[in-house]
Order: sequence, then C-alpha cells, then structure tokens
Amino acid sequence: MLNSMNRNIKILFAVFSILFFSLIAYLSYFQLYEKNKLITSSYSVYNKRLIEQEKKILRGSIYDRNGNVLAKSTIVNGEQIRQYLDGVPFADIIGYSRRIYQQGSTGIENTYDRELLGMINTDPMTFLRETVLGKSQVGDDVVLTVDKRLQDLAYSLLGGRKGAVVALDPKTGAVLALASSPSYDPNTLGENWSSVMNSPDHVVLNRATQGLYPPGSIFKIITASAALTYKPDIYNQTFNDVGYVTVDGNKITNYDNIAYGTIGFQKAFYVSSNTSFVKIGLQLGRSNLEAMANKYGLNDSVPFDIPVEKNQFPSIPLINGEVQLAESSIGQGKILVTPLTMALMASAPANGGVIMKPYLMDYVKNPVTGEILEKTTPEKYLNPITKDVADKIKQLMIGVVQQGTGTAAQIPGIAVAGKTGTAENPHGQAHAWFVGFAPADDPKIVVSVIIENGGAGGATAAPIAREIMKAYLGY
Amino acid sequence: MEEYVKTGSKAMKDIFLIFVIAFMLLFIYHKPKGFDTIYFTIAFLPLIYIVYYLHVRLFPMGEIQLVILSSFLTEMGLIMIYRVAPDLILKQIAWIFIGFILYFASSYASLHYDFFYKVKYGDYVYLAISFILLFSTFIFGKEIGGSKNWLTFGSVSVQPSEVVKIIYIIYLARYLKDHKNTNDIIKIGAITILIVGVLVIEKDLGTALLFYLTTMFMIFVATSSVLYTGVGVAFLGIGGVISYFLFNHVRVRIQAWLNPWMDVPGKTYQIAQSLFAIGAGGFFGTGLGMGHPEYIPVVASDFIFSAISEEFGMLGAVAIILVYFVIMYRGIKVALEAKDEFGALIAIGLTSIFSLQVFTIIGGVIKFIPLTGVTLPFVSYGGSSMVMSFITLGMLNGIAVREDEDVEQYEPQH
Repeated sequence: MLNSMNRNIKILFAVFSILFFSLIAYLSYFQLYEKNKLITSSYSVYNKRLIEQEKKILRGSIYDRNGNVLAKSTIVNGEQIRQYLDGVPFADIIGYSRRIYQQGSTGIENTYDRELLGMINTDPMTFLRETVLGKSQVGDDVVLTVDKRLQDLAYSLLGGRKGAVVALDPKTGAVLALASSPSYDPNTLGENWSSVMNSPDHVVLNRATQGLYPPGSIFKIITASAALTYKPDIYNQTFNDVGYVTVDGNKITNYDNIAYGTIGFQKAFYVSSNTSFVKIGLQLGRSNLEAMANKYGLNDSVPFDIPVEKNQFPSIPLINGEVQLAESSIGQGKILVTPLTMALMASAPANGGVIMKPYLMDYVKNPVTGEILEKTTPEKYLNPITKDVADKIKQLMIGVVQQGTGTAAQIPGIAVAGKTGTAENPHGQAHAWFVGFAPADDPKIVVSVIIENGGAGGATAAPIAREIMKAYLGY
Repeated sequence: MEEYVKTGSKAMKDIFLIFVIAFMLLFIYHKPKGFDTIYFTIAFLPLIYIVYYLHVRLFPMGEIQLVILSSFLTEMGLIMIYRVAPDLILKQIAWIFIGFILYFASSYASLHYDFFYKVKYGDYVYLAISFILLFSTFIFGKEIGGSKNWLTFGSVSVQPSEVVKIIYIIYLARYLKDHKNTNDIIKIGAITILIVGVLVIEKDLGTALLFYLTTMFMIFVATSSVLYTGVGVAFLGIGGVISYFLFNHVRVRIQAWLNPWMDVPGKTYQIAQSLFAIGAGGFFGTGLGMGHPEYIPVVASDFIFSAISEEFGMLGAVAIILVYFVIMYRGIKVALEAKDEFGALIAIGLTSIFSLQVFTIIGGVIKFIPLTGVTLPFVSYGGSSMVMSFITLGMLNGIAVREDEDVEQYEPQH
C-alpha cells in the first residue's frame, strides 16, 4: 500500500513542480512581452508611477530628420509645459501627452513614452549608475524620419480638404511625410479638449493610417501584378473596350463612359480602362487575385510606430462571386485600404518588388551625452512580386504619367511613375487617389495622396504628389 | 550532522545580513518612521537565532530547513511591511513570535500524531468542529475586504477557515486510511462540496479552491484512482461554471482575470495596479524603497508579492517562489518517509494546502489565474495566516522526527 502511495506522492510532487515553474515561466513572459504593452497602452493613465515620473523628468524632445525641433518641454513657474513647435501639421504623427491631466497620450508621444521619460536602460553600466546615483532628470530625445519642410508642404497642399498624404523612401521604408487633414493644434488642447475630441470632421483621426478608403483604380497595380505573375500572356492580349462590360447582369462602366476600342494591356493600364481590367480579373480568377492582394498585405494591419487600421480585402465567394471579382479587379466593391498601405503598395515596383517595413523613429539619443540608445534598422516587410514583374509594372506606371491619366504629375527633366484612382463610394463624390514615385530609374520617394470626395485622381491628387516629389528631389 | 549545522548557521548569517542591509537602505531612502519601531524590529534577529538553536538542540533530526526558510520568508515580509505599512510591523512581530511557539508546540503534538487517529468518534468530532467554526462566521461574522469569513474578538480578527484547514486534513487522513470504497469517496466528496459551498457563499473563493484541490489530491494519493481524480476535475469545472452564473462575486473575479482593463477605476483596480507594479519592477527591480508599492491596494497582505516584484524585481520574486518550492519539496519528502499511511496522508494534505495557497495567491496577483484573496504564507501581514503556516510546518517537522525515531523512546537531548 505504501509503495503505491509513494508513487502517487511523487506524481503529486511533479504536479506541484509544474505549478511552481509555470509561475516563473509566466513571470518571465510577462516581463518580456506583456510589460511593454502595459506601459504604452492607453490604460497607463491609471498608472500613477508614470505620472510621478512625468512630473519629475523633463520630457525629451522630438526632432525631424534635419534636426528641427518638433516638440519640447520647458519649465514655466515650476510646471512642465509641452510645446509643439509645428503643431497643426504634425498633430496626427506626434499626438499629445496629457497623462498628468488623465487624458492619456497618442501618437509618437505614446509609443515612445518610455524613451521620452528616460526609462530605457540599454547597457548595464548606465543602469547601475542610475540605480546608485538616482535616475537622470532628463528624458531621451526621439529623432523622426520625417522632413518638416515636406510635412508642412503636404499639409498646406491638402488645403483644409479632408484627405491624407504619405511620402516614404522606398529603399528603407523611412516615412518622409505623413499628413492628415484637417488637423488640430495640440498646444491648445487643454482649452479645446471637448471641441477637438467631438469635432464632426474627426480632426484627431489620422487619415493616413486610420482612414479606410476604397482604393479604386490604383488597385490596378495589384491586378496587373497578379496578371504578370500568374497569367503572363495576358500582357500581350488585346481587349475590345466599348465603354462598359456586363457581368451577371451588372453593368460596369469606364470613367466618363469613354470607349477606347481595341486596346492592348499597356494602354488599358495607362488610360485606366475599367472594362479591360474587369476582363483581366475574370480571366485571373478569384484565387489568383486574392493571393496577390494578400501578398501585398491587404488583409494585414501594417506594423508601424503609430496605430494603423487593418486593411480589408474580403475573400471573394465561390457562388455569385463574379460581380464581386469584377469589382475587386478595379479596386471597388468591398476593399478598404489606408493611404499608408497604398504608399507601400507603390513602393514594390519602385524597389524591385520588395516592400520595406515603414517606420517613423530613426533613433533615440541621450540629450546630454549624445549617445544613441535605440536605432531603427530598415527591414524587409513584404515581397509580393519578382524584380522582373516589378520592372514591368514600373514601365506601366511611367506610361500613366507620360501618356495616360496621370500627366498632371509630370516633372520636367525627370521620369515620374504613377497611377491615378477615382474611387466611387457611398458618401458623395468619388475619392481622388494618386500613388507614384520618382525618379523612376532610381526611386527616392514614393507618394500616396487621397482627397476625400475630390473627384478625378488625375486632376486633384496627382498635382499634390508632383509638388511633394519636386520639393523633395529639389527640382 | 556537523556539516549540516554549519550550513544552517551560514544561512542564518545571510538572513541576518539581508535584514541589516534592507533596513539600512530603508533608513537612507525614507526618513526614519519612528525609532521605537526600529528597536522592536531589530529584536526580530535574536528571536530567529534563538529559534534556530533551540531547534537544533530539541530536534537534531528535525526539519531545520523549514525553520531557516520560514525565518527568511517572515523577514522578507517584515522588510516589505516596514516599507509599505510601518504601523503594522509590531503586530506582525508579535504574530511571528506566537507562530514560533506554536511551531514547537505542534511539533511536539505531532510526535504523537497517532492520537489524532485514536480519538473516539473522531470523524464526527472533527466534522462537528469544522462546521461549527465555518458556520460561526454566518452568525458572528464580520465582513473584511469583501469576504465574510472573519470573527472578531476585541481588536483581534481570526479567520476560522484557517483553523478548519488543519482539522479537516486530519479528518481526511483518518477517514481515507480505512475507507477507500466508492461509497466512502462519494461521502467525502459530498462533505467537501458542502464546505466549499459555505466558503463560496462567504465569498472566500481562494480558501474554497484550496479545500477542494487538497481533498482531491489526498483522495488520489490514498486510492491511486484515476477515475476519482477525473471526476474531481470534472466537478471542479462544472462547479466553476455553475458558481459563475450563480454568484456575482465569482463572475467579477473571472471577468477581471480575462480583462483586467475592463474597469480600472473600479472592479479591476487592484489587479491593474498589481500588474503596473510588477511591470515597473522589471527583471532587476527598482531597488528597495525606490518603487511605488504604496499605489497597490491591500499591499501588506494579499498583494505583498507584487510589492516584492516591484522593488526586488523578477529575480527577487523568483527567489521567493524557489524558497516555497523547497518547502514544498521538504513536505513531499516527509510524506514519502512517513512511517505509516496516516502520517503520510497528513503530511501530503498539509503540503498540498500550503503549496496550493502559495500558487493561488502568486498566480492571482500576476494574473496567471483569477485573483482570489488568500495570503502569502509567512510574508503577508496577518495573524491567522502566520500562526497556521507555522503550525503546518511544525506538524510536518513532528511527523518527520517521528519517522526517524520511535516516539516511545524519543527523548529530547539536553
């Protein structure tokens, strides 16, 4: 009897050992993964430790890529005041930090809170020194990849209309400008809190990362990618374009009902022929189109320094899916994307088929010693198409600007590639889209522009992209 | 043997050193919180030394590790209590003192543990006492911290369920030694569910869980039956679901576990603050006296582990867990080496309830499992818990000594 009991007791010992070590395992997991979420989450308004820290530490500054100060803290009458030097254009990136007033924080101020409060310790010696001598009283500085000049330009080009501009470096994923309009002034948030938060124009919404829009014809980049990847002979086909096509009894028309007659694949892309692209989509079939959309990350939420809304590319049903497949091929129907995602989409043909992970924080430095504490290294995010396909798409996009719908994006002396979009939507006039990059042979900047209810993309959005590219490239 | 005592003495010196350094640090970072507090606190050191040497002399074959480990844990408790609630420290030292006395008393009592077996009508006596104690809180009880499981006598509050724990383990050991048929197990199951039901109604969810699991483990050890254990697990699940729908306080605990951010200013305030503290501590801790454990509610009792995690870091917290692990291991060893089935069952019952209590409270405050208000043995502030933890270890020690020498011939050495 005692023998079997001893066996049972040993089993019990094993059970208790597992219980105890699972506590240790969970604690490690918590410290490694859960903790950071805890500190950066919006719940941290209830963490009095951060408020204490915030009162004690002079919050770090935020700079643009050229060293312009975007946000800094100063002490006025013993109280810390946060100043946003280029308030309105940057409000949607930098956000605000109002934890002391129990109003939380957003944007870069939220994501890099720990850094700005000087709570990161990269090397053990600093850690030891600060433990013994007490923490330094200054937070660390965050340097962003954005260019203040470009950001201001983007915001002013939007001119108070609802919309967004995203500009990034296709080779690294560094974001150069990310403007959302209309915006608000974070400097006067204290007085205007409720009017800003309840604004009917949703001024706190970052339209560049959180606005979801149908992509319209700029989606043809993805349809063309699928065609060139899965059914390459489509490239040499001709299409009879009579201005409309009927799918399962539904009539889908070209923009302005123009009939182009018999045209090839290239011209169909230049002029953005809906009729031809519906036929291309139907030939490709649902699985190919879905596969390519997924490769471009259209069912993901993009990893980024500030919150990004999840894109939506609903799978096309097997039964009665013809109409939805046709609509999807031209970026209509149920597809919803953010302007940031469309900038990333356009960076695939610009960068030999590779989409780099977008980022806003370049590096974090100690303001006193200048030591770099954190640095973002560019990394690959997606690789939807091959180099060969990327180059073909690039040629198509150059054609759009030279002889198609995107001529308004032309810059004398430099080859620009682009694609226009005019996205029909249930909320009034169509949204105007443009995505493009320049110089086409060695792309240094990718731009994505949307103007809500702006009408034709070629007329409204393309000139904005042109001005941004001109300014950045110095033409 | 000599080697053994040498290692023990070295451990005691380390405990001494930790205490002195900790209090010096608290002295530097915080203005002294009354010098008399300091004097009384320093009296703690001779106390644990006396206990240590007394133990070596009285029980040369006893479980000296239990004394060393519990001294360390009570010391950690004192340091943290001095840190977060210095007013409570004198009471805590008094409870530790009483605890040590009861440790020796229960050690001696357990040398003759057959007595518990021989009591006439023992089953009825133990059950009667258990139920009287449990129901007494319904009539005379006072609600403290949301649970109606306290009796107050003047300025002292006692938790009868703490006493019932030990009586009930003796009852189970006695009953299970001779009764292993399905009918007997059903009877035990029914009684246990009754006790657990009373505790759930009193909102003492943690203790309810401890009773249930301990009973299940003891039945498993006594009968080797996978069937009973399986049925036990199934009942636990069913009971959990039923009480979730039946009792609001169960629902609140489960919901707060699933989403600690549901209502931070209200229902989930405690667990959220606990997680902030543990997060603030990181791996190495903020350093003693440099964190903000005072933001955690009931930090001196239920949430003392979070305070340790904040100031001593995850490394300190893991050290505490490992100390409990070793106590659990010693308890298992006592059970394995026990002379007879009765002794082994008592030892396994005591070890189970002790270890489960540790797991329940630590798992609760770190959000590994739903939070139930039980104390962290030896470390949390609180009299009933302190005394009962010492009695648990004392009984284990008594059973261990009994293994080594036949009690009839046993005479303490002088």
